[in-house]
Amino acid sequence: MKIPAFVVAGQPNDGKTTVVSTLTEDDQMKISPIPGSTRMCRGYSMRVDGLDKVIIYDTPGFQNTGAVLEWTREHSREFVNPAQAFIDQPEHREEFPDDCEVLRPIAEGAAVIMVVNPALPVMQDNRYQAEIFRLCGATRVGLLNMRAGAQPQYLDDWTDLLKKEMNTWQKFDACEAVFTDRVELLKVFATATPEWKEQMDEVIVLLEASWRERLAQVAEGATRRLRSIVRYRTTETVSSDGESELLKQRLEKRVCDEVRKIEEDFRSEICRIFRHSQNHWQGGAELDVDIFSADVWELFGMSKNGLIIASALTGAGAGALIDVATGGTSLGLAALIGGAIGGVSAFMAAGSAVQMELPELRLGPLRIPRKKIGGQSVKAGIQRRSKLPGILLDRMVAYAEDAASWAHGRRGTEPTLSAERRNRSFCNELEQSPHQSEAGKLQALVELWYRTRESSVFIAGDQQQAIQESERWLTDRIERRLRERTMGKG
Amino acid sequence: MYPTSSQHESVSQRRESPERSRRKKLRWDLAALIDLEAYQAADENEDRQKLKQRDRAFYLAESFNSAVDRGVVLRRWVESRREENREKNSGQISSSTGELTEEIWRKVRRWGGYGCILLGGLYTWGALNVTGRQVNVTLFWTVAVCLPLFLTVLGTLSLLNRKGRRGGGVIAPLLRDFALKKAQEAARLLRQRISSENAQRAEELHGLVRRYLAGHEGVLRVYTIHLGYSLSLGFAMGIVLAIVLFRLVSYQDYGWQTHTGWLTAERMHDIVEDVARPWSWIDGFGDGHGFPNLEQTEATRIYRNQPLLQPQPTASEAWSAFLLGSALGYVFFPRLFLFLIAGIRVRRIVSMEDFSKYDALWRRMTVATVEIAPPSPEEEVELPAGKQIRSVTEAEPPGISATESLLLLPSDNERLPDMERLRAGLIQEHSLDFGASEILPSLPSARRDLITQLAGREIHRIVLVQEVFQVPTDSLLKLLKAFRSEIRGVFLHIVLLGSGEIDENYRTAWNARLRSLGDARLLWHELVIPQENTTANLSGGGEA
Ligand SMILES: Nc1nc2c(ncn2[C@@H]2O[C@H](COP(=O)(O)OP(=O)(O)O)[C@@H](O)[C@H]2O)c(=O)[nH]1
Ligand SMILES: [Mg+2]
Repeated sequence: MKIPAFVVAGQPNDGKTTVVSTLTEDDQMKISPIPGSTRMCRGYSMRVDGLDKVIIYDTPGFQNTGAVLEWTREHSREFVNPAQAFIDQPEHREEFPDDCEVLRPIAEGAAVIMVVNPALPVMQDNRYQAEIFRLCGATRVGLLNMRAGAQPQYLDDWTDLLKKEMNTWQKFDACEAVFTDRVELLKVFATATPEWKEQMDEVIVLLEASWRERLAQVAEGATRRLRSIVRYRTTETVSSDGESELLKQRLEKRVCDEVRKIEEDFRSEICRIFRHSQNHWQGGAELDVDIFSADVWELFGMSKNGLIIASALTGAGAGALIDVATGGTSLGLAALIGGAIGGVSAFMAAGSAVQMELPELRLGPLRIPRKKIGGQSVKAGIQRRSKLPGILLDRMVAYAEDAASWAHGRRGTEPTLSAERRNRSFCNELEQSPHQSEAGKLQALVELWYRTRESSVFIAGDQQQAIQESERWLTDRIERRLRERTMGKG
Repeated sequence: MYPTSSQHESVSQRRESPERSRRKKLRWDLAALIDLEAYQAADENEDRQKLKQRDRAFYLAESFNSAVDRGVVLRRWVESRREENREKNSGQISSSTGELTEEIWRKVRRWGGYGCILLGGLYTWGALNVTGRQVNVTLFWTVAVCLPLFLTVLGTLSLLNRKGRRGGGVIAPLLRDFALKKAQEAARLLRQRISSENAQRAEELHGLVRRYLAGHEGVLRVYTIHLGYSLSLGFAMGIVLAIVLFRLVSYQDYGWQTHTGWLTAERMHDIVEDVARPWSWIDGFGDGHGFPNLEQTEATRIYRNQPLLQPQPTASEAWSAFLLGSALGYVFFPRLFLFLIAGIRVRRIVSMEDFSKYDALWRRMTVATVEIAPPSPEEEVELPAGKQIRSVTEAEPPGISATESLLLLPSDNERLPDMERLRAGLIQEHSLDFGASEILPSLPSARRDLITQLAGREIHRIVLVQEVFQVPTDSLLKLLKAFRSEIRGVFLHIVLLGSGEIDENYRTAWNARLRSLGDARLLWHELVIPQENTTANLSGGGEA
């Protein structure tokens, strides 16, 4: 067989489909806790630029182990390819369709991955199956499909069997495996099959490159979206002063909606990048809850040295998240000032997210607020010292991490991903980084974005360059973080 | 079912594309650089997956060799994007942002150049075209040769000097800031005047150019210098042309004057001779032709308000040639030289561009797409599905005595509870007593033997113990069918043994499979016996 091919075999319900699903990043496969849910043999091919490089077959597993073994024992000497011979018997296809399905790829030269569940005892059938594979001359890799949560009671028995009967074996947790684990497993496959070693190694290298590209894509997407949030501006023309309250609500809603939309957009891109057809995981409070809910703000806020002023948030909802940038105004616009907070200058500290700018007259450095806003346009965007960019960034990174490390074979929405969720704030990491300047760098970038949001056209060259450099830094930083979480520090 | 070689072929076929020769000619220029930036900006909000597909496909189709330079690939990429865009709005003439910019730039240079020629010409002509007296050669020389030469030297020196002190200087940044501010104001005014759509487009274009230039100040500098030299060359050309034209269509006497006794005609002649060295060696431009000889010099010495003597045609021709030579040798050629150097630098700087910042694009092109293809439909092998579930009327077992009842234990029985606990459990829970027990072999031949042996015995009930996690397979169903056909009327009881609470999923699986047999005398029960001492050896079997 020219192309490396592996057939996943084992007892029904030992997690064969789960393993294949995780390895092939296909979350659409039918995995059911009810044994016998896979009824056919399916070949999933790993394609590099459209060319098949590795094929992994999912099978229903043997249904007539004893019969197959007896026949193979009897005829293994007669035939060069006993598996093929077994299939070639017309009555076998009638009588043992499932078993023929398992044997078909083996007959064509595929190596066998025997998936076993160490929570269940070693049965006679398992031993027989191992013998069948041996008699068929297949390369055999044992896969101890460890289940987090379940006690691997019979691990030793299984290890004994696999040591004896398999060319090599490996532990794997199909529901918890992250990218490194998958690559690790593929490397085991590669070593087990010397005839395919080169091809496998190539695929592994490409796979890793492709993974890094995805992470880079994610990081770039996060930076881009953060920028567009900070730069976002919406304008509305006011016809009369009396409208101000309504206007405020409208603008505020628009800003908040934009934030939500951008986050949503990011999430669906993430799902596409990591090939999740849906959001399988439960993000917990800081991810599943709307970004403008007080919960989220507090959650993130508390970790930031308690700088957040809770009164600006509690009970007030989005209404309190508003500020007037141009300061004092004598208009009937006091309402616009809402829950403005003064004196908190730390980055991401102020509670206000949305900022409005009233029309003003500019005479050189002098800025005089217009007396009337009727007929003028009012702009709203994200408040300068808002925590919002930090929170959004944290949420984006956390979401991407979840998506990147969620095994495709995993079904259902068992909550936890990892326990130390609370400590994983990306912004916190920046703050605590040994490179003192990291949090400052982010702050400076947000500030730069903010300052240049008025016109994207006339940005002085050095400023533009500073922005580009900082954006690259942020992107690299996010990428590194994702790499550390999914590929290890190396 | 495995990839045919045709896929490989199609790739290699593409390799032989005739575009190859065309590709080599592509060079970087400002247009391409700006376009690279522009297409990047346009891609910013595109779907990344699509971009990946497009760019990877481009890269593969071009089949660059692996060591190819990033710049070469990106240049091809720009070209392919241009082609794609041209195809998209076919019919309309559409040049890309970069091409447009370059065109504008070129126009500025061209028309600016023409303007400078005209300016230089008028300036020179004005200096030559005096009536009623001779042209003061020294004065003319100062104005038309010395001053431009001085400016050229000054400009070049300041450019060379700037290299040393980057970022320094006080006036330059101030000037730049001032210019920037003015430009902003102008743009704001302009924006109010033109239609919003155009304004947007202009803003976009401007933004792009600026965005590009922000990271490429060197390029902007070189281009500006090139422009400067083009204009100054135009001016020099104007001077030369005016002198030539004047020589052809007009006549003027030349003279020189001085207060000092030191500057005698001989000395003047010596100076002139030295100045004329660059061209005096050329045949026909020697003493008396390319510059005035001693007599001619002497004859053209003039005094202020001295009335015009008779014309001096030969001396004037020599003087005119001298002025032409000076303009060419000291203004035109140096500027031409600098202009050419600037041109080379323009070419060099764009070809020396650092493309490292186009990482994302580069990755999209060079990193292979790895994807997993689910099996194609015809490849799927559908197995005969399990039979339809039929509802079964479970018959009540009549009073079967223990001796007519046989217990079958699986051959994997190390974990089963010992016989006594099992028996107690069976009787208590399901009133299933048994007289004898046998091990159920796992190989079909042994099973067949067992069945024939059992068929000869008086057995009315078989109690088959199975561990509940042992998923019911076809072979078990076959065994049950064999019992049914070989031992007529026998009641089959399957005891699903568990050591703890029985998983609903196993129950579902067992129910589904056993029901599919549609056997009215097949019954199955669950029996939970907590695992305590599991080591009881039952393999001996035998009578209880
Ligand atoms: N917790 C956990 N459950 C698993 C794992 N592998 C499989 N399962 C579960 O086992 C059941 C059967 O898996 P499936 O892949 O359909 O087994 P197959 O019949 O061998 O293809 C499903 O409910 C899976 O969720 C694992 O690694 N960890
Ligand atoms: Mg399955």
